[in-house]
Amino acid sequence: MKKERIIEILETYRRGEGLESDQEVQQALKLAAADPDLAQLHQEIKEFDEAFADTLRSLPVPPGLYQDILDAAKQQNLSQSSPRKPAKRNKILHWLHPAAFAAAAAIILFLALSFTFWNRPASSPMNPEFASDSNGLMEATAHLYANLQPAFKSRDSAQIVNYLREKGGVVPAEMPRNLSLDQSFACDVMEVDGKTVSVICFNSPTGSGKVHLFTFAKSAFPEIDFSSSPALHSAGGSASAIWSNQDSIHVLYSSRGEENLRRILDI
Amino acid sequence: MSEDPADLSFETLVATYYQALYKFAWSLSKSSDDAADLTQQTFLIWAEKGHNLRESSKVKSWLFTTLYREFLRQNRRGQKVAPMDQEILETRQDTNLTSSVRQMEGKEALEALEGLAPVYREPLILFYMEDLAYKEIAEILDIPMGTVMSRLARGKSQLKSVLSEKLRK
Repeated sequence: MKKERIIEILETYRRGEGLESDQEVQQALKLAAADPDLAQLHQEIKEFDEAFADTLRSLPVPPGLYQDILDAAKQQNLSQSSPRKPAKRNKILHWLHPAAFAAAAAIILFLALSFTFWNRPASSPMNPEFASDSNGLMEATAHLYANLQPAFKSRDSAQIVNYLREKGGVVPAEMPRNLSLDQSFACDVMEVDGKTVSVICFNSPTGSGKVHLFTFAKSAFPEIDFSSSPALHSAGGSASAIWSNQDSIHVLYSSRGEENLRRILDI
Repeated sequence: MSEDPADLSFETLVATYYQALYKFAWSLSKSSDDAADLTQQTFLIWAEKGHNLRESSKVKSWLFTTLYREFLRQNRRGQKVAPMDQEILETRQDTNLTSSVRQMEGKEALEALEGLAPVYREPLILFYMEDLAYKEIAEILDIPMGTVMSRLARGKSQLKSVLSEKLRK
């Protein structure tokens, strides 16, 4: 195989795309792994991609656009007739106790409210009706992701941990089974109503997009008796998992669906 | 396991996707006003036709596809692949390029992309900005997955050339 072809494959190869079954891709990856120059090039390609993606995502959005869209829909009487079907019940995994689910929903809703508050654009997309909706879990996780703007970026896990500690954030005592701090690239610490939330952003170890781990101190919610088993929830292609361990409550979010989280959590 | 997209309120759907759609629209139209109009139009189309969507996991790609088609409708143009005069596949990545990109503003990154032909720019935007799966990019742009990959490879090569040139100036 020509070197140019190997490089072309390395430029487009991403785990999680199902490309591994292609023999040419397999061969290119094998050759690249055996050649130090190509292995380094592969690493540099990944770093460039991440840097360019981060830069591009920082494009500003007009602050009034959200309200403009809602107003336009209202003018045309469309938002009232949005394509709703009869409401369905949430399909939360049933091995989670209902009380724990309620607690999970409360945490997620708090996260959503808080996060949107912290990152509130001039015309906020926050909608109180959304927060009080029983389907809020699904919608809130989508909000979390949509409003995510981590303040600190680094590929050094020690710096990530230092930043969280310096800002008084909760550092997860232990990571999900298949997630390592070495895969983190950004983080933030936020405080609302005296409650502190840490968020760490990771490149998904499954090679499928990014995942975000939100962590609370359990003591911030003394009334909640939380399950240590992750509760999964999916919506519109995204998924979140909620669980607690030791002194923390965690919410793991992925825009690439439930299977991605299952692999990370090994469930 | 997925929820029905119809369970999302219109407000929530807009709040969730308007930023990403706007950025994609901006990259297509190169105009903030046109991007805002395209984004708005996409949600109005959703409000009218979104109920036809059967698979809840495809809300996002449905919105991106709709926006892209609306852009094409408004700007009817050929989608032929521009000939590659100088296709450069560098054997060594410029590590300075990555650190320079980290210092860039989003608008500068977009300007660099504007130097590419649309057939390369569009998949690159979806790849970088939205981290969409190749299959989803193929659906949105209505091209085979193999074409997505070859355009990404060539587009990335061109992008790096444009960025290197920009940094030399």
